[in-house]
Amino acid sequence: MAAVNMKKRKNHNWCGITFLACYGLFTIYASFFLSSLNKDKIIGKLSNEAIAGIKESFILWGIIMIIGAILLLIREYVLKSGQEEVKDTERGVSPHY
Amino acid sequence: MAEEKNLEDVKPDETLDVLGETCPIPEAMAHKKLSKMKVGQVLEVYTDHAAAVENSFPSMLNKLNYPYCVTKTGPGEFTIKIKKTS
Amino acid sequence: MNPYFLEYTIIGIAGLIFGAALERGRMCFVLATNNMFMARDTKILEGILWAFGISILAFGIIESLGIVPIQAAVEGVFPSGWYDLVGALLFGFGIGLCGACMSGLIFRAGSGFTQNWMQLFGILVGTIFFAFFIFPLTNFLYWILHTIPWLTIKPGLSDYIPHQWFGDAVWGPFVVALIFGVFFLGLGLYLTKRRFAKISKERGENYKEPVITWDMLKFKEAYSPRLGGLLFAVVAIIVFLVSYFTVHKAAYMGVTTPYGSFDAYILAPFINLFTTVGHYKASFLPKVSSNWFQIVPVAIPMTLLVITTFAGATATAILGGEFKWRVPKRKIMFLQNFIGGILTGVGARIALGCNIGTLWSGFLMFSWAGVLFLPTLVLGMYLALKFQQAIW
Repeated sequence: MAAVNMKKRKNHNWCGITFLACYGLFTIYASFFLSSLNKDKIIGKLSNEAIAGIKESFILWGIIMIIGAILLLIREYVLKSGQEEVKDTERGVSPHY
Repeated sequence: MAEEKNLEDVKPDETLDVLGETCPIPEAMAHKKLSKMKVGQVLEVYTDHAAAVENSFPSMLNKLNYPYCVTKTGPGEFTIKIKKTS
Repeated sequence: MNPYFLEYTIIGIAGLIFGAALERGRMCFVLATNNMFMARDTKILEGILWAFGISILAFGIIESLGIVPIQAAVEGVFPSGWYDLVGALLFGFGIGLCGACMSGLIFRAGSGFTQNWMQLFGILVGTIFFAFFIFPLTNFLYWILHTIPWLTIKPGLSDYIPHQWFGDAVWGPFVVALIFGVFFLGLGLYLTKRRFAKISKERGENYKEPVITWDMLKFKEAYSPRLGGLLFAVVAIIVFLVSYFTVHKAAYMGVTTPYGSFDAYILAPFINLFTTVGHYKASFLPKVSSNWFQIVPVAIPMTLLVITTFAGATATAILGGEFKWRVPKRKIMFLQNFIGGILTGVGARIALGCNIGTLWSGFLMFSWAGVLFLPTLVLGMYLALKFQQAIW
């Protein structure tokens, strides 16, 4: 039975890393619309200073997330520590309860 | 406890595949399936909901007093074998 | 330096911690209540009670010492009333169907549950549905501001419990915090003690769980929910203090309104939700409030917090070796989660927030919102659990 399960096992970490990069790209993408969306607002309008600061911060965080994704890629494919973890299966795990 | 060790190599009578499903579903479906099974039969559940394996399954099965055995089969993926004893 | 840049950047860090606490501590309200109803297990609930208790006490101290003056703290307080009860019922049923609350959704989607991405999509659709149909056609804002007097408490000072009870006394927030905080923390500690006693009896040995271990810090092991709760409280305090000391406007935790911003950003190349659409004749309010998007700002700090929470949850899932692309075998689950997501989105908008923004932050604001939100939320989740037990 265990052998069957071994076959099913897959490493999906690349997918998570793509997610992380996508969050970063989305943040940078969103930063472009801040000022245009704010321009025609009637209630809850933000000041120009606020929009500039928020935009910078969005871009900074977008870059941080993409760097994080790259670091995880290095961990996954250069250091291979993520792949080790995935291989590690335990039998008869007693879950903490 | 000895019974739990033996469960590892027992061939299951029924299987339940709830991979990819969250919260109440794995426990609720397992509970339903167990109640329909005969005493002495073994149910095998595949799940990847880690929280279910850490909390809800153990506490539910301890309450029912059924022996069970959890095997980790991959990243966040588990197989639980449960023996219906009463 | 631009104070807004500073505020958003630091709150982004808080989001990462929040994501880690959610993912590693499995902090989900649905999980907590389901475990309680189905298995009488209180492990996750203890974490949530810790989060509530510690953060409420901390907020009381912060406001009483004047680190954040009461007048500044009051500015962010929501009004509360009948809509909390109605919204929480819809919201509770929705999150029960999806198996993930508004915050649980973030870590589930972040660790690869496709059905929770479907829920997220449902929330985005539900928010638009609310903004363009329910909000203008029912004249929602009017009913919030002018409704049955004993049910709607006006925004601002009058919905601030310390003010209602003790007037302008500086120690007011601390006394109120003591009442609510000690209740939550005490209940949490009691449940922990009871659970340990039960397990000790079953195993015949003195059972104890460490709050924090080295393996948890290395992401090898799931956090104890109590550590998750502690981190929750830390995040709320960071958000509160940072927003006050940078832009002088106290911000409370909330994760629902950002989904509205995401709608606007995603659709921005095609349609500007904030201005051009949704002027219905049916609304007898001034034109400016005829669609919900017109009354919220383009960005609040929580918008960035939600994105970094996703990032934190995904990163810890990968580091803990738990990330997996999880597709349910039964494709009908996508439909269930889509419908649940729409209910979640609409319910959260009716209640002016979700289990974080109205329930938890409601207590942190010392307003009645949290108290009103709780009973129907639990009822909604219970009904959803029974419904699912019946159909599956």
